[in-house]
Amino acid sequence: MSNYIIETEKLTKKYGARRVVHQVDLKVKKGEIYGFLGPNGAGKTTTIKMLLGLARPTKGSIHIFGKDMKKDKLAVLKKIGSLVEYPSYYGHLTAYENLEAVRILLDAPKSRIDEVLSIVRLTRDAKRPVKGFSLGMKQRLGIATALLGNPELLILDEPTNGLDPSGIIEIRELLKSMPKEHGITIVVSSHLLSEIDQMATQVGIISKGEMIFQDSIETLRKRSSSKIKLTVNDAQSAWRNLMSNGFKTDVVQNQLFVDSVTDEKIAEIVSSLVKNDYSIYRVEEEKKSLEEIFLELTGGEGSL
Amino acid sequence: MGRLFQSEFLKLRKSLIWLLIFVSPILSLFLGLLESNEITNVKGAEWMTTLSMMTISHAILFLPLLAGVFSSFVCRYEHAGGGWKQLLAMPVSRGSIYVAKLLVVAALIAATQLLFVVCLLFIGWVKGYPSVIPWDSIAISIVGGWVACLPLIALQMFVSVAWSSFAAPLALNVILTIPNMLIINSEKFGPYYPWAQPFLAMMPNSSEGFGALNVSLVTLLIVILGSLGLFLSSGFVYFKRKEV
Repeated sequence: MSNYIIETEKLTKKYGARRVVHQVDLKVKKGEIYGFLGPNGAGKTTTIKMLLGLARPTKGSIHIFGKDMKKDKLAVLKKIGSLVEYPSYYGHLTAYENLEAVRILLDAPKSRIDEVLSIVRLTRDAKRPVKGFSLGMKQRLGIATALLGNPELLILDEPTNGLDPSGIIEIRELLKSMPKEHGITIVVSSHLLSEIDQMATQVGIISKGEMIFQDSIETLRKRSSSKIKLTVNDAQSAWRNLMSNGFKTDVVQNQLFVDSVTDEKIAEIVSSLVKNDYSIYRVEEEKKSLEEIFLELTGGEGSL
Repeated sequence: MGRLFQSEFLKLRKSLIWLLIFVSPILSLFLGLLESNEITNVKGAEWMTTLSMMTISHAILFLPLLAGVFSSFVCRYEHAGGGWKQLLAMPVSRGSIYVAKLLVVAALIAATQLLFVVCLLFIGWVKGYPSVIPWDSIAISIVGGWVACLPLIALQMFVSVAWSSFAAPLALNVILTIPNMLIINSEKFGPYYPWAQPFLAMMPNSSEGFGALNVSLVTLLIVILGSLGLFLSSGFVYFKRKEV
């Protein structure tokens, strides 16, 4: 038996001839916050729907808690809390009644309703009909609903959609605390890299239905290869001079760039410049941002 | 299953649509009260003649329409707020969700039928009908009407689940119900048109009644149960496979 909470194998979904998800091997370990990242329309929601049994895979298998989704769907769903796409609600019911309608199905204790309401700070609005709620409040209610059954696995699709900045921070801190405090595993999807960067421990990047990267966030960060940037008084002539001395550099907007090389090599370049009477104003290291790596991975069509 | 019911009733109770169960019985009550006494004076048949009078509007129009309205409604609040996604990701089987929704609608129609009886009894009390109430005949009419509504509920549930629009299933229902007024008068087509069955089943003393029932055995088996089986199984299979 594998030690993965979620493990999909060659998961594929086709709508007609259109391949929405193609051979995705998603692997999520216990206690991780798995950031599922991809541009809009990359197949995130479709993948999540398949994980929850809302859509049927065309090919491939899904195992959650080591159980086959095809055979033990209900047993698996019992331990999952979810929020898909936009929050689900019954507009004519109050927030409390919305939670009650779900609580009955989950057979959770009544006291749990007040608990989740206070977790998402909706206690004061609990008695108001949900149709009057703002998108952010509906989103909180959706998160409260996902937490209602004390799930071991939370699957949240774009959970910070529609929240204001303070709400985003609040939900982010809440999600970050859960694996530590309750041993919950979380899958959170987003099209915003910064969002995932701030909470995830593992990252899966999907683009055009295919998983193009899946590893820890540190590994993703390591990809950000650095360059040394030199600011000198006359970049063009300095570049020619360095070339004639056998140093390979690039000139971009009157600045010299050296691809990541050893410290010694940088020292030689600097001393060569000094010997030839160039004034060196700055020597800086420039790291590629995660955004750039993301764009590189997704072939430049990523929205951030 | 019990939990699903509780949850469905919570969602239903807060919407005011269930109040529609009163409309048809109350309308029938007025029809019954205003009816001229000439026909009813047939000794011993007062109860059943009044019942026939009340049945006309109730079973030709209202029962088939209500079956559609209630079915659309129990699906509407799922369509409107993205409820299907949430409901179908719960640890309850799709089959029991579908059956629970069907039974909720059937229960609402049953409540309508019971109110209909209450109104009949009220008329009898006001007009001083004989104290011997023909419970058997009344029960057959009421239960028969309810059973004849089940296929209509099954079809309406199917289309209501399939179409996210609230109006489309209702429009279909009206289109199928309106011809009732002509079809019930036709000896040829009446027995075979599912939407005419609530009326035929509720109308006492129709000539070809089978045993104690107001409809013939052929109608009962083929038309009512047959269409129920067809609509129910196709809706059920569709819902089981539906992607949300």
